[in-house]
Order: sequence, then structure tokens, then C-alpha cells
Amino acid sequence: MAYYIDLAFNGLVFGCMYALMAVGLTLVYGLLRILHIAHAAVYAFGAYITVIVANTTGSIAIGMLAAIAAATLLGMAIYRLLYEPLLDYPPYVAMIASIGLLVVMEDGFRIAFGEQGLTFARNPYPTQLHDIAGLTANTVQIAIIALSTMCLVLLALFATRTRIGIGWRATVSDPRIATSFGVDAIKVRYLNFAIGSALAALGGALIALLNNFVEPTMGFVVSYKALAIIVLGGLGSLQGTLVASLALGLTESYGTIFVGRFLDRDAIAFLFLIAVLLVRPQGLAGARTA
Amino acid sequence: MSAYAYSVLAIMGINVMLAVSLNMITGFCGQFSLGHAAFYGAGAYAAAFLAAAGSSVPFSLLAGAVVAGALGVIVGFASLRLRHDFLAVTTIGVSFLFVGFVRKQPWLGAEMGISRIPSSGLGSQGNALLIVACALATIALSIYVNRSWMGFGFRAVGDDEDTARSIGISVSSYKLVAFTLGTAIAGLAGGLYAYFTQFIVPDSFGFRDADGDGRHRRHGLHPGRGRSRNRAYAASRNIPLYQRVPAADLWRPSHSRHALCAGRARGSRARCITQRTGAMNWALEVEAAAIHFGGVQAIAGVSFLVAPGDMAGLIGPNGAGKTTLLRIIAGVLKPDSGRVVLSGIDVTGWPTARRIRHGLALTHQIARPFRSMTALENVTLAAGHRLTANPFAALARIARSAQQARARDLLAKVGLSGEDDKPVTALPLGHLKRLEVARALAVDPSLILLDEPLAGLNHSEAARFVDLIAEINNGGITTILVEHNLAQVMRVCRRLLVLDQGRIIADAAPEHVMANPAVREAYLGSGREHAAA
Amino acid sequence: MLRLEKMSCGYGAIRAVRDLSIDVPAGSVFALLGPNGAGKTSTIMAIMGHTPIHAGRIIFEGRDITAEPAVRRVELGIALVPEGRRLFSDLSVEENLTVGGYSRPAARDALNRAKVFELFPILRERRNQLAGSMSGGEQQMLAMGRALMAEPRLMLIDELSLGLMPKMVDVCFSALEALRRSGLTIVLVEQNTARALEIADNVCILASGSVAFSGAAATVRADSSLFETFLGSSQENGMRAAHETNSHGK
Repeated sequence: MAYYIDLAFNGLVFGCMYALMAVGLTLVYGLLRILHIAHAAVYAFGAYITVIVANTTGSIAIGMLAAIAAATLLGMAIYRLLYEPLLDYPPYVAMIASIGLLVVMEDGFRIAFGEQGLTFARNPYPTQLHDIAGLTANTVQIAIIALSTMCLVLLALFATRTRIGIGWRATVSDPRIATSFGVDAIKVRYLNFAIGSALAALGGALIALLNNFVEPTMGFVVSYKALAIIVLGGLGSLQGTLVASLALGLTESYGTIFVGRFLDRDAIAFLFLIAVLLVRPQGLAGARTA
Repeated sequence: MSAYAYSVLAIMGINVMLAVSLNMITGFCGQFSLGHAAFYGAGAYAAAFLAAAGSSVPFSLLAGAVVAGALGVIVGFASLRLRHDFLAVTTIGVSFLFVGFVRKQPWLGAEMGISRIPSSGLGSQGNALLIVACALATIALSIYVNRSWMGFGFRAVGDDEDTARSIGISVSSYKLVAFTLGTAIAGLAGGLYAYFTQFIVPDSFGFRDADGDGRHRRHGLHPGRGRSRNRAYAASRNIPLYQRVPAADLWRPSHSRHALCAGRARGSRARCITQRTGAMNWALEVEAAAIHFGGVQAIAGVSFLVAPGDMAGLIGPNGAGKTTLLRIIAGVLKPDSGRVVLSGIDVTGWPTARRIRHGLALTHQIARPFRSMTALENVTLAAGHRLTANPFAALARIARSAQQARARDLLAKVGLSGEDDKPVTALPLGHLKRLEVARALAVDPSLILLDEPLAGLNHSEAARFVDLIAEINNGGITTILVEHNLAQVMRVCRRLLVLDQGRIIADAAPEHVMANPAVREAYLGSGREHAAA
Repeated sequence: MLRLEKMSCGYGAIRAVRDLSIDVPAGSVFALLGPNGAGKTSTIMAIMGHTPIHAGRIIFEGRDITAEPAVRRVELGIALVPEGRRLFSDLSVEENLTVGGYSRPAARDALNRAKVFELFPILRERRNQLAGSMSGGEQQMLAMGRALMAEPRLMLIDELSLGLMPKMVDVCFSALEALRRSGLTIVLVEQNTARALEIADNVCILASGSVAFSGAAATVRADSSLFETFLGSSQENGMRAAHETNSHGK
């Protein structure tokens, strides 16, 4: 029994990680209809900056803050330099460009920081174990759940209680009419990328802490899983994305017990995706398009 | 040449096969398949497994192609239901699924893959040359497909699926064939690769394998080979140069008010009649059609009959349901109840493409030609509708001269003689509308549906266009048009059906309809009866 | 208050509207009528800054606003009630109103909101309901309320009665009358020509992008042969055809 609770906890941790990544993707898709595959590079970038700044300053907290700040700027730059010029072309052009950027950045990490990856100079957290109602969890896992929940709650409050947040949602719903009431669509786009990238960087920082390791291709699998998640969640639906993140985390966890003999963890995730799409081609929360 | 040079040649050959086969799916047919590596891998594994079990080289290679093709058909089915961005992610998933699966199968070598694949007997140079030969054959096949009517159909599907349906092309069949063909070739490449390297591991076939599936994708989308198009995008980017046409003398056809035979029978489907009798089939019967959208009854029990050769106008205020009714007749929408009968055949459950193949033609309010083709190609493709009905039959045919000749005739008939070889993106709105008509005529219809043909045309263009429509109707083709421009409609239609809030409120000759108080009320509203609160 | 001087606009190279000149006096109701495709919505969208303008000028309260970006026009005092309402369907009634008042200081939000609820009490009842789930009439009221939150001096309304039941049409037109009495200038595109003529001071009839008639509403109310003009082509042949059928039909 404890084993199953452990699995559920494990699935929950992964689900939170996926959510941090997927929210950024879904925000971009909802606004611009682009699959922002280069998001993985922002995630990896956040992880690298955390490690480097933490090792230089001796404080992991400063490292994380620096990473979030830097990634926010990177995300906005990606919008301005990569996507904005391509908005007049069909969406798949931007997607291919995004894949290209991911490849370039991964190689960039390889060249700048070495093929082997980096580790923290001093990171006691993954080995700090706590006992919570019979469950064994380390500090980082708890931090992941706590921080991601907090961020998502803040995001929800921002989107529903602040003027800017409401204007942002209005722009996603109908950009032209939102403009007619004074909501600047361009600023909303930058906001979108900023928030999404900040969350991705946080995710990258936390994963770096959990594994005590960052390497150039770390964003790769997570990014494609996050894509699967936003498709599962219905492309553009925030609630759908969150549900799908948790669903995927848990499915992977439990899935490995039953199907782990035939498929590895990543394949299980995609099998789940394909199975759902066969039944509901519009995703879990998406609207049926005529 | 050194052994190294041969292996470079071999890898190049494999890449060419993969790129060209992917181009068939993505470039020709517009389906965004990012998991091509999985089919390559499936072919490699199938061939390697059989080879290690003792099969002959040709059998193993064939098996590789077949296994990959079968997998491709399954993914092809997925493409029928998923939008392109969903499809892209799903096909990425197929890649992961494949690698994740083989990695765990002991009988496929698990993580270690299959090593010690028996030699093909050709030696490494022989293998490399075999690969090159297959690569050249693939290129040749690709060129042939492109030239054939099947390739013509692929281009249509890639450009605009709805327009392809409107000339009788079964979009699903073409997509499935594209997937099967493209993936089978990838599977063959996989088998060749297995024999060349004599060992394979799961990681070679992941989404980002060493040479990058991305590279194949980018080659696949190279211009000049048939580009993939985003259909919705293309449809939303409308028209370029608007040319002011000088007002021409208005020519009124001297037709009487009854249907006449004009001596230009179009195939066996045009019927000459001089009066309406009950003995022959109605061109169109709509019986108690009804449909609702999210709580609103858009069409509420509409019934009417149209005799062959009739010219009927369907009018009514905004939101009355005219376009909805037209889409029900065309097969784009399925009614909740009621029947649609074309020339005596109940077509109620039929998809649009099938109705087109049985004598229906339609033009759209927003002209949607195939943007990658010239005006002549647009009409030629439609003229070949009998050939494109079955993709395999289409593969066997290359000759286009008969259809091209017919297309030139039709373009002349609609007044576009000089425009044959112009890309459609260079045509002004008035000409695009004429092109729509030419394309509709090319499918040999007995009934044409026109959705707001005069929208966007200025007065003199509209008058000339309506004259063209009248001339077509004179040739024996039953015509129904939805229009807002009442002056023109009243000039040529012998019969007006007025729709208001999903019901027919009048069905008579134009002068009677316009004098009908119910019709006036529908247009003006009954504001005068309600005192302001 | 609003003047269009020989304005031509349209997307790409298409001239949706050609050489349009109209004059809307402050405090009046100006009706823009005509058949579908005549260019009425293009004109409204051009005033809001969405349709590209090829020639001519837009003068609002004495200022040339032709070059002002769309996002600034609401700040100048122009608010839009779009064709088909175009509410933010995933947002609630309250949230839609918030967006309406986006360009105004937050301090006045509560006051403006109260005014909207006073004019349309049903919106207060439904304040937390999703805009997409309301009936047509309620949506139209919300669209008008949203525009009012922007404290406009000029309100552009595109198709007020489209798809509404007669009772709801009455309610909306009553509200319109109340707004006019309070001094708001209104440009109204309307398909229900009878209702539009009842409330309008001045009328412009567009056909195929140009003016077919422009003048006082009283003139149009008196002349019923303009029925065919509204719905068909305004030029010579259209008129001729109309007179021919008139003589047949009688």
C-alpha cells in the first residue's frame, strides 16, 4: 500500500514539474497558435544559470532568482527575434524555426559549458529526507510541490483579480476587440512569454536541484512531453493543461508498473496521449471544432 | 573509391530516400508527420529480425517496407481526425512510442539492438550501390507521382481540402495513400540501412537521431518539390490586385421564361425539357430539412423541389439560414432530419465529394482556388474528376491533354481566355469568381449551387457575372443561387425562394415575391408594430 | 463631432469603401444603412482603426485621427459595440465590463459599473455568469454596457437587432434612446431599417462601397420606394428593374 502512495507522490512531483513547463507552452499557443518547442531551451537555460550563479555566489536562492530573471528576458527576446517576424507565415514555419532554435541552443550549451554537464558545488537538499505521514520525501520534492502550487495559485489570482490579468485573458479570447478597448496586444504577448519563461526557469532550477545535475539535452524529453500535455489538455486551455499534467505524471508512475515490461516511461506518456486523442480528437478539455 | 567514400554515399542515399518519402506525405499532401524516423526504424527492425532468422535479402527488405507501410496506414487514419498541430505532436509521439517499445523487447535485442545481421552477400560496396540505386528509384517514383493524376490530387489536398472535396476528390483516401507510400519507402530505407551497417540499436531511430529527423523535414519542405500549405491560412489571405473594370454595355440574353434546350448538352446528365411534368426526376428535392446549432433552430422544416433547368434564387435577410441550407444540400452539413435527393437519388448521408461525382457542383462565397496552381491547372484538375475519383487509378494516368483542352474551352467560356497560365494569386476578385464557375462546370454537373457569387463585385462586374450565370443555365444546367443583390437576382431568376428564420416564406416568380407583404416585413422588420417601451 | 472626408478603406487592395464623406453632429443619432457587403462594417472598423485606410481623413472632435493606432482610439472617446456582439465569451459579465473600462482610471470603475447596472438591471443579476452562456438579448446589453464603461462621447453600434427577439429589440432601442437623451453621439448600423429610421436624425445609405443617399431621416421615412434601393443595387439598372417589377406586381 505504501508503495502505491509512494508512486502517487512520485507522480504528483512529476506532474507539478510538467505543469510548470506546460503552462508556458499553453500560454503561447493560446495567444499565437505556435508550438513553442524552444521552450525546452529556456528550461535548460534556467537550470544552467541556477547552477552557475549558485556556484559563484554560494547561494542557491540567488541562483534561482537570477535564473528566473534571465529566462524571462530570454523568453521575451525569443518572441521578438524569432516569432514576431514569422507571424505572417503559416504556423508550422514558426514551429520549425522553434525546433531549429532548440537545436542551436543545445549545442550552445554543449560548447559553452561542456558536454558533461554541471553540478552544484554544494547542494544538500536532495538527501535531506523528511517523513510525512509515512511517506519519505526529500526537500526538493516538497519544494517542487509547494512552489509550483504557489505559482499556479498566484497565476490564477493574477488572471482573475487584476485588471492586467483580465485584459490578458480578453486578448486571448478576441485580440481585435480587446485592442478596441485599449488593451495593448503587443504588451500582452511579452507578458505571456515572460510568465511562461519564468515558470519554465523555475522548473529547470528545481529539476537541477533534484537531480543535482544539468546537461545540454535535459530539456528535450520534457519539452516533447509538455507538448503532449498541452495537446492532451486541449491546446490553449489552461485548466486542461493542469489536469493533463497531473494525469500524465500519475499515469507514467502507475503505468510503469503495469506496462513497464513493454514500454519505457516516455513511451507510456505518448501512448496515453494517442489513446486519448483517438477517443477525443480535440483533447481532454478542448472544444470540438466544426 | 575508399570504403569511407562508399559509406558516405550510402548514408546520402538513405537520407535521400527518407527526405523524398517524407516529402510525399508532408510536401505533396500537406500532412504534418514528424515521426518519420519511426517508420524507418520499423522497417529496419523488421528486416533485421527476419534476416537474423535466415530470410533472403529481397524478402527481408520487402517485409520491412510492408511493416512500415502498415504502421503508416494506422497513423494515416489518425491524420484524418486530427488537426495539423495535433497531428504533429501525435506523430512525435509515435516516434517515442516506437523507440520506447523496441527498447524493452528482449526478442528485438532490447537496449542492445540487433547485431550480427547476416551479410547481404553484396559486400559493403555492393550495399552502397544498392542503396544509391534505390535512392534514384525513389526519386524517379516521386517525379512520376508528381506528374501523375494522383500527384495532382495530392497537391489539391495539400492546398485546400474543402476545395478538393468540391471537385470530387476523396480527401481521406488520398491522405491514406500518401502515408502508406511514404512510410513504405522509409521502411525500405530502414531495411537497406540494416544490411549496410549489420547492426541496429533503438536510439538510431528516435525523434532526434544522429542526423536529425529535422533535416529530413526541412528537406521535405524545400520549395520546388511541392510545398505543404496551411489551408485555413490560405483561405484567410484573400485577394490581390483589384482591377477597375470599365463599365461594359450590359447584354441581356434573350431567353424566354421557360427552360429551353440550348443545343449544348453536357454529357448524359443534361436534360432538355420544355415543361415541368411529374414523369421525370426533379433535379433537386429537399424534404423537411431541419438543423439546429447549440439551441438555435437554424433551418426548421424546409421543403422544396427544383425542376431540371430551373434557375432559382434563394434570398432572405441576414441570418435567415440561406448558406446553412446550401451547405446541407452540398453535404457539408448533416441535417438533423429530412432528406436531400439529387436527380432521384437519395444523397442525404453522402459526403460532398460523392455528391460532386453524381452531378452536383458548387462555388463558394469566398473564392478558394488551389493557390499553388495556375488558373488552367485549377480547371484541368476539376476536368479530370473521373480520373481522380480513385487514387490508384489516378496513379496510372499521366496524360492531361484532353482535360487541358477542355479546361481552355471552359476558361474561354467564362471569359478568362488570356489568363490560363497565370498563378491564381495574381487574379483579381472578379476573375477568381469566374474561375470558380469554370471549375464547377468542369465536373460536368447537372445542378450548380452558387453561394453569393456577386459578393464584392461592383455593379458592372455583377451584371456581367449574372449574365454568365444565365448563359450557363441556358445550357441546361439547373442553377440555384444565394444572393443579396436583389436587382441582379430579379433580372435573371425565374423563381425566388425567400428564407426567413429558417423557414421558406415565399416561393414564386420574382414580381410576386417582391410584392408579398410577408417578404417586405422580413426585410424591414416589424418595428412599426411594436411601440417603443 | 465626427466627420469622414472622402475616406476609402479596405483590406489588401480591395476597396470596401470609396470616397465616403459623412458628417455626424454631436448629440445626434446617425444611421448607416445598406445591403450586405455595402461597406458598413468596414466603415465602422475604419473609424476604430482596424480597417486600413487608403485615402481621406477621419476627423473626431476637430482632430485628425486617421493615423492614430487602434489601441488609442478608445482613449479619444470612441467606443465600439461590434457586429455579432463579440463578447469575451470565456470571461464573466463583470470581467467583460472590466475590459470595457480598461482605458479609464480604476477609481471610476465602480461608478461606471453602477451606471451600467442601472441601465441594464439584468446584468447585475447575471454578473458572475460567463458571457458566452447568455441569451442574445442579454449579450447585446452586455456589449453596450461594455462600451459604456469606456466613458465614450461617441458610440459605434454595428447591427443592434441582429438575431434578437422583438421584445429584446425594444429593450435595446429604449436603452439607445436613453443614451441619446444623455448626450451621447451614436452611429448606428442596422438591418432593421424601420427601427433605425424611427430613432435616427440623419441617414446615409451605402451600396457597393459608395453613398447612394445621404440626408435627414425624415426624408427617407416619407419615401417608401427606397425599399429597393436599400436592398439591391442603387445604380441605374437596379432602379429600372425595381420600377418594372413594381408595375408588374401592382
